Amino acid sequence: MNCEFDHELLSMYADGALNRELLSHVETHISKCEVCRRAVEDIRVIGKALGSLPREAASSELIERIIAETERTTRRTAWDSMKCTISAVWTVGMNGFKIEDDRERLLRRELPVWVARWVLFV
Amino acid sequence: MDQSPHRKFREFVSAHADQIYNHAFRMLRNREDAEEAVQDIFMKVHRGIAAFRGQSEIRTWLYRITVNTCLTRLRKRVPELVHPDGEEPDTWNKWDAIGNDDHNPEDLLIEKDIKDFVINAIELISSEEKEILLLFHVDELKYEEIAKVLDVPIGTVCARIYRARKKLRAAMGTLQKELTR
Repeated sequence: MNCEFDHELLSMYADGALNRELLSHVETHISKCEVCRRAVEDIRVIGKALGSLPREAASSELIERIIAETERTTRRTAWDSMKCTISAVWTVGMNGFKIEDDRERLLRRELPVWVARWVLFV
Repeated sequence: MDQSPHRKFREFVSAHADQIYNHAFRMLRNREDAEEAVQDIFMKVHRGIAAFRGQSEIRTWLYRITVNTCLTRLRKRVPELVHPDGEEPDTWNKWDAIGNDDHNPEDLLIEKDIKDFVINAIELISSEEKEILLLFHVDELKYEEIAKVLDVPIGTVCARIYRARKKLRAAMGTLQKELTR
């Protein structure tokens, strides 16, 4: 025997996910329809079986491994940031000097000595 | 270095590890894979946790990472799998068709056997269907939370739960027929 009633509504009803209006609509129907009442019961039985599946717990070794790995990552990240900062300061410093050197070389080559000396000292 | 964030994260892991491990184990059906997945999940959480404030947001975010990590691992694994009857993945369509059978509520299974049927039948439905049923029935997330985890409207969650359950019920019927043959 079949019933054309919306089975998605029955599924939501069994899960307690209907608003008041729809709840009353479904309750009125299942109070008269044996097929849908049994369908709801079927959904609940399956849900209960799924909900009672044995729970697996994480081992304490796994938890310690996760903590150790995250702490290692944090230390590595801090060290990487420090390395990055040192590297940036070093690069800017060296390039700064390099620019100064190039500028000095250019000035010495292109300009009269007295002008170059004046510019460099200023 | 400030020890407080480490202590907080340790508390967070201890509070959620069992749920997440249970979900990963049910999805991946293998302890080693589940442990790797859980480690991967918490490393992702560790990288992004600073952006989160509210507890409820953290829970849905944690499950979103869990769902994505498990499904990604399963997708990578699929080409290596052979179905229980030895078929290649290309010919699995008949398993996909399982959910198209309309079950008769009069075939209600005996409750004492139902848990065994559920454990076996849930392996016959798709990973996405299994995922949504676990989120609702095992992890006890509400429809609204599942919608946030999967980033879909609530209506889609209702429809997917309904379809997943229908396929699970049909798979249970198939197993029952196999046993009584």
